[in-house]
Amino acid sequence: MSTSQTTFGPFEPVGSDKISIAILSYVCARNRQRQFDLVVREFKKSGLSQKELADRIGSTADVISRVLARPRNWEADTFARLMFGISGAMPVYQADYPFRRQVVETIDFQNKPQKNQEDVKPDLTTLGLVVGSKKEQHPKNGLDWASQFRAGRAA
Amino acid sequence: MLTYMSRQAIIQKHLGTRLFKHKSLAFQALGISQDDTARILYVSADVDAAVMYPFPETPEGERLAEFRARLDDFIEGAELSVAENPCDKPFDAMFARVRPVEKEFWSIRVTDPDDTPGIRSFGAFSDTNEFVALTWEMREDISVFDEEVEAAIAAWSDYFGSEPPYRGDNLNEYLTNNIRTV
Repeated sequence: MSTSQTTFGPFEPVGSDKISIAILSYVCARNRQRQFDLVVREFKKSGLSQKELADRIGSTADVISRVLARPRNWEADTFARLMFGISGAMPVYQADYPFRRQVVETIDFQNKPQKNQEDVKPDLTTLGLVVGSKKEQHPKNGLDWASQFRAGRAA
Repeated sequence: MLTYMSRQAIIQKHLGTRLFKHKSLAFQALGISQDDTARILYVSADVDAAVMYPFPETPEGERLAEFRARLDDFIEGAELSVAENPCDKPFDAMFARVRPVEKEFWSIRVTDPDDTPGIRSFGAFSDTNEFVALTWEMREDISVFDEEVEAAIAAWSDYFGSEPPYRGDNLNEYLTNNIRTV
């Protein structure tokens, strides 16, 4: 039998306490990068030129060049137009709680709790970094993801 | 007696005292290790202190948080726009080679928030997908860019002695995945 317990990190919002503006900046920056990653990877996969994408969504190649240069604070509609324009895709959203730690305790027949070290991990679902107890539920667990990435040096 | 030490041996010698293996804020906050990342980033004590939580509750703190986000994205394998020509690059390239090219130094370019000049961090590669960030400055505090590069080169020598930075023949020998040349 196992039970899980969630520990909240220092950045978790509590009650009406004001969240650090720097932490909000951090979260926004990482969110911008996640959107950017999704769009750039779809764009690379598509084989489209910037001009072709511009024509598809009624823009110009210059604008597309700027959009693909770095993560920006895109409006939701810009993000949707880019995704759909590139490949007919719509993004799937999923909540992620990177600053929480989940500890799963396994209880044996003698009622001795044993912390399963493999389950002591932050939840990084959105990054494709799910590890530990959720490892088998997600096609891209963290270690495989990182290994595949770094194996690129041999390719 | 002159003793040859590889870059990796030198890094190991400094690790935990003068150089730190960067881990993302989530892992730092939860106090757990982050052994296997897509890219490896070593930072000097100076860079480590700049991006260490808590950030000041000021506009400068927001900028440092943006810097931290960029470093966290780097190790997690995020998409990077990379400029190889220091004399001809878009103003918002995310990673760029700096002059003199033969010295093998690069800058991490943080250009957000939009209404700020951003932050530059200088360093060099120690291997493929493995970068050492040695110095950093608010962009508006950099008056002579070449002097900042010289400071980074001097910092490298301070850590690595005569051992030069890693040199690749093309961009894919520096960063293998999720890069786009601009």
